Amino acid sequence: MDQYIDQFKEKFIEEASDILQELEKSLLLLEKNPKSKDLIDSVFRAMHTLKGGGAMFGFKLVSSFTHHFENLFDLIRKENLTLTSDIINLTFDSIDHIKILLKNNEILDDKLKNIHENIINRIEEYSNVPKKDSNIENKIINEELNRKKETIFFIGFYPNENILLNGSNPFYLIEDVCKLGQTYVIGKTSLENGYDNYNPELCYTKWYIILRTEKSVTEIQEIFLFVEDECNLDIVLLDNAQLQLNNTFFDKFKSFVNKNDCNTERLVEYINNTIKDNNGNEIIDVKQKNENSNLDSLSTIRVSSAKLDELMNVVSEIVSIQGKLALFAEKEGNEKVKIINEELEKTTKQLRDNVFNIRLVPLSTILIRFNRLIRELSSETGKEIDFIAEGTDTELDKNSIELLVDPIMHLIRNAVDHGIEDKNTRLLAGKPQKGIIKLKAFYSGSNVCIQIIDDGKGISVELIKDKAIELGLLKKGEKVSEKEILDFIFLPGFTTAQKVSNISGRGVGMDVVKKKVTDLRGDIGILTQPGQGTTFTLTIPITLSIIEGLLFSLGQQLFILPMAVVDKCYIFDKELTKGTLNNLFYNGTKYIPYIDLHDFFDIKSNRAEVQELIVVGFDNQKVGLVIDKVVGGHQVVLKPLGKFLREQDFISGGSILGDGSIALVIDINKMIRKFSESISGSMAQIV
Amino acid sequence: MAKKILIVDDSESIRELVTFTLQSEGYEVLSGINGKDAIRFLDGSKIDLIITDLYMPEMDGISFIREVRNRDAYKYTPILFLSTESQNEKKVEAKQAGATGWIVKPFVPAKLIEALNKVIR
Amino acid sequence: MEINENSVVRTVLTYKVNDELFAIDVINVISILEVCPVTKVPMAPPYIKGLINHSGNILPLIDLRIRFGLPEKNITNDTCIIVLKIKIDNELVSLGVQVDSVQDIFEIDTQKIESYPSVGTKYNSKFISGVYKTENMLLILLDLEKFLSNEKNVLLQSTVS
Repeated sequence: MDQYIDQFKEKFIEEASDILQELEKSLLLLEKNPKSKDLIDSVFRAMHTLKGGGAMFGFKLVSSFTHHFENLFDLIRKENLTLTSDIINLTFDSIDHIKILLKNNEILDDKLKNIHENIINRIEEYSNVPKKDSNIENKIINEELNRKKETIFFIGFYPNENILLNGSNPFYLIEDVCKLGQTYVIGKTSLENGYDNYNPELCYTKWYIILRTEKSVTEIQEIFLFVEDECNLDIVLLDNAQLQLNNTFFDKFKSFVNKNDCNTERLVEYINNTIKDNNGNEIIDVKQKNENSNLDSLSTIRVSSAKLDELMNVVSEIVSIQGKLALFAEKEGNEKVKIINEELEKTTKQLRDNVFNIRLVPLSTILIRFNRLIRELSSETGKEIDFIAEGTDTELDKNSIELLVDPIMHLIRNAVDHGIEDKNTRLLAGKPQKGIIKLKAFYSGSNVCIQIIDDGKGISVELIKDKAIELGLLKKGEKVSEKEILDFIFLPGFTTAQKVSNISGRGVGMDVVKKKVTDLRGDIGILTQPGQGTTFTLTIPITLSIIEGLLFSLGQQLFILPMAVVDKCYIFDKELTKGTLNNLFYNGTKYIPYIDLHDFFDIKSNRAEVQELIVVGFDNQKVGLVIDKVVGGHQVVLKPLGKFLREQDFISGGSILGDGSIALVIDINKMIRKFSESISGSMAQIV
Repeated sequence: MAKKILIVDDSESIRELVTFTLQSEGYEVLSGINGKDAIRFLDGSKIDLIITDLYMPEMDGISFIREVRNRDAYKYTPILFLSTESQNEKKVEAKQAGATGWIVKPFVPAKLIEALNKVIR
Repeated sequence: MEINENSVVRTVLTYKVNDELFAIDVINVISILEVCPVTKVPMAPPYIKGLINHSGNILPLIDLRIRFGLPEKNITNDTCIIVLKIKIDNELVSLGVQVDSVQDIFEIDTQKIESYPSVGTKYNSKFISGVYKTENMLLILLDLEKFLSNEKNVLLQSTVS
C-alpha cells in the first residue's frame, strides 16, 4: 500500500509548491486589503489543502503544522479574530518553513526544530488550537458484547420518509446487516394515507431484523453510519437463551408482525416471551451451544446415522413420486390435480429441507479437538500460539465433517511445526510473539470452504522447486507456475524438511490430506507469502442429495445444473460472441467466457437451431455454458453413479425424472477448473 | 458498461490518487477541479457516484451538492463528501444539502473503496 | 445330474457371450431385463454403454462383449441385461451387464468343477474360477468380481501354441 501512494507524493510536492506560490501572492494582496473575504478564504483553503494532502501523502509535520494555520484563518474568516500584520508575517514565515519541510522530507535538525516550535508557539498565542477530536464515541450497550460470542439482536430500522432523497439505499444497509450473520428480515409498509397520496420518492417501509451474530453492536451501528440522521435505529439484545431461528418461529413472527401495530418494545417483548414459554403452544427449541453443556438435556436427542439414512431414502422416494405426479398433472391438465400437486410440492420441499438440516452439523462440534491439539503442540514446541476460529457455525454433513478432522489436524500440525517461527525469530521479524493460527469456515456458492491460516514464515517456493528437481520431477530451467510448484507438496513422500520431527516432516501427510479431500469430491489450494504466512483452503461441495436443479437438453440427452450455481440464462446469439481463441460472450455489461457443451461432451446429435446459454457462477467468476434448451426447474434426487463412473470428472450423479428417464447432474467445479486450466491466464483478465 | 464516478477536488494530487484508485477497481472516472467546473458533467448522462471536497474556489462543495440535487437526473445519485475529523458542523450542513455520506481525510485507498461500497454496488 | 449327500450344489444362471456359455451364481443376480433405454454418459469408457433406471436406481450398464475385447454386435431379440449385485474391492456394487443371450438356470455339483488351464487357452485363467462339463455343454465359471475390479483386466489371452 505504501509504494502505491509514493507515486503521488511527487505530485503532491509539485502541487504544494504551486499552492505556496499562490499563497504568497494572496498574502501580499491581503496586506493591502486585510478585509477581503475572498483573499482570506483562499488562504484558508490553501492551508486546508496542504493539511489534507500532507496527511494523505506522508507529510505528517506539514499536515499538523498547517493545521494550526487552517484554524487560525478559519477564525479570521468567521470574524472571530482580526487579521493583523503580525499574523501575515507569521504566515510568510510559515510558507518558508513549509518549503523547507517539503524539501527535507520533514527531517528536522536542531535549527529547524527551533523554528518549527517557535512558529507554533506564536500561533498559539492567537488561537486555542482545538485538541484533535477523538473519534465519535460509539455507544456500547454491553462491554461483554465485544467478546466473540454469539448473540441475537433485534434491530428495528425505521427510516425517515426522506431517506431516499439523499441517495441512500436501505437495501444495501440491510444487505450489509445480513452479512454479519444469520438474519431474518421482515419489512412492513404502511401507506397511511392510501395509494392516492403515495409519493414514490419517499420511503414508507420499516424493517424488523433478527440477527444472530458474533459481531458487536458497534459493527452493526457502523453500517448505519451514513444514515444516522435519517432514521431511527433500535438495536436490542434479546434474552440470552439461544433462539432457534427456524421456519416455525419465523412464520409465527411474521404473522404477528402482519396482524399487529409494531414497535421495538412490543416486538422484543413478543420474541422474549416466545423463548421463555415452556408450556402451551409456543414452544421453541432452545439449543444450548456452550461447549460445557450437558448433551443429555431434553433439547437434543441422539439418532443413529442408519435411521437418518433410512429417513433420507424415504424422503428421496417421496420427492421422486411427487415428480411423477407433477408430470401427470401437467399431461392430464386437470386443474384440481394440479393444485393438489402444488401443495404437495411445497410440503415436500419443506420436508426435504427439514430432514437435511438434521444431518447438517456445525463445524463447532469438532472444534474442541483442534483447540486441544494446539495446546499440546504449543507446549511440545515451546511456541505460543493463538487459535482463532471463525464461522464455526458453518454446517456440513456429519459424515463429511468426520472425514475432515484428520486432514485439518494435519494441516494445523504443519502450521505449528513448519509455519510458525519460534519466539525470537518472530520478534526479530517484527511479528508479535504469539503466532496466530486461524480456522475460518464459510459458504461459497454450493461449497463449504475451510481455511487454515497461519502468520508464520510461509512456504518457500524455491525450496520446493529445488527438491522437485532433485527428485527428478522437474527439469532445471523448466517453466512452471507457482501453483504447479506448490502442488508438489501433495505427492507422497515429498518433504523439504531437513529433519523429521515427531510431529511432521515424514512426508506422510499431505498426500493423504489431499486424498481425503478429493474423496469428498473437494479440492485443496495453497496461498503463501514468504515471511507472512500460509493459507490452505479446503473447498468441499455441499453434498445435499436433494437439490434444486435446472434441467436442460443437449441433443437427445437431459442434463441438470444445481440451481445454486446458476446465474442467468440467455439466448445464445452468435453475433454477440467475439471470435477470439477464448470463446467470449457479451451479455450487455461484460464479456463472459463460455464452454460449448456439445463440443465439450463430444455429443454427436444435432444442435438446436437456436441455442441457449446458461451463465454459472464459480469462484467469483462467471462462465457461460452453451446448451440446446432450458427445460425448467426440477427437484433433483441426486443418485450416485456407482463405482464405475466415480472417477470421471464432470458428472456428479444422476437423477430420475418423472417419466423414468435419467438426467445427468453436472459437477460445475470440476468442469470449470478443467476449462480454465486449458485457457490459463487469459480468463483472469477478462472477467 | 463500467460504473461512472465523478470526483471533484481542487487538489490535483488528490484527484489523481482517487482517479487511479477507482480506475484500478474498474470504474470510469470523471474529474472536476471545483464545483463550477464539475457542473458540466451534470448533463443528464448517468453518474453512479459523486465524491466531492468541501472547500474549493469558485463553487464550494456544499453549493455543488445543492446544485446536484436540484437536477432531476441526479436526485438520487449517491454523494460522498471528503471531510476532516474536526468538521462536524460541516457534516451536518453537507447532509442537509443532500449528501449521502462522507469519507474522512486523510484516507488510504482501501478506506475509499470501503465507503464507496456502502453506497454503490 | 447325480446328487448325493456329499455334493455341494451351486445354483447358477448361464448366459452367452459370443457363443460361449458362462455362469454366474444366482445369489448375485437381482433380475434379468430386456434391453431398455440407456442414458449415455459423456466421456465414459467405451465398455460402459451408459446408465439404466432399475426400480428407481441408477445403474451403469456394462457391455460384456466390449469388455471382453470383442467387437460390438447389434442388439438382437435375444440380447439381455442381467442386473447383478457383486462385491468389488470390498464394496457391494449393483450394475447391469449386457449379454448376447440368457440361458437356463442350472444346479451344478461343486465337486465336479474342474480347473481351467492357464496356458494355451482362450481366456486368462486368473478370472476363470473353473469349468463345468456336462454331456452337451461346457460352462465357464467366470469370476466377474475379479474381472470387473480393474479396468485394465483383459480376458482374452493371445493363444501361443
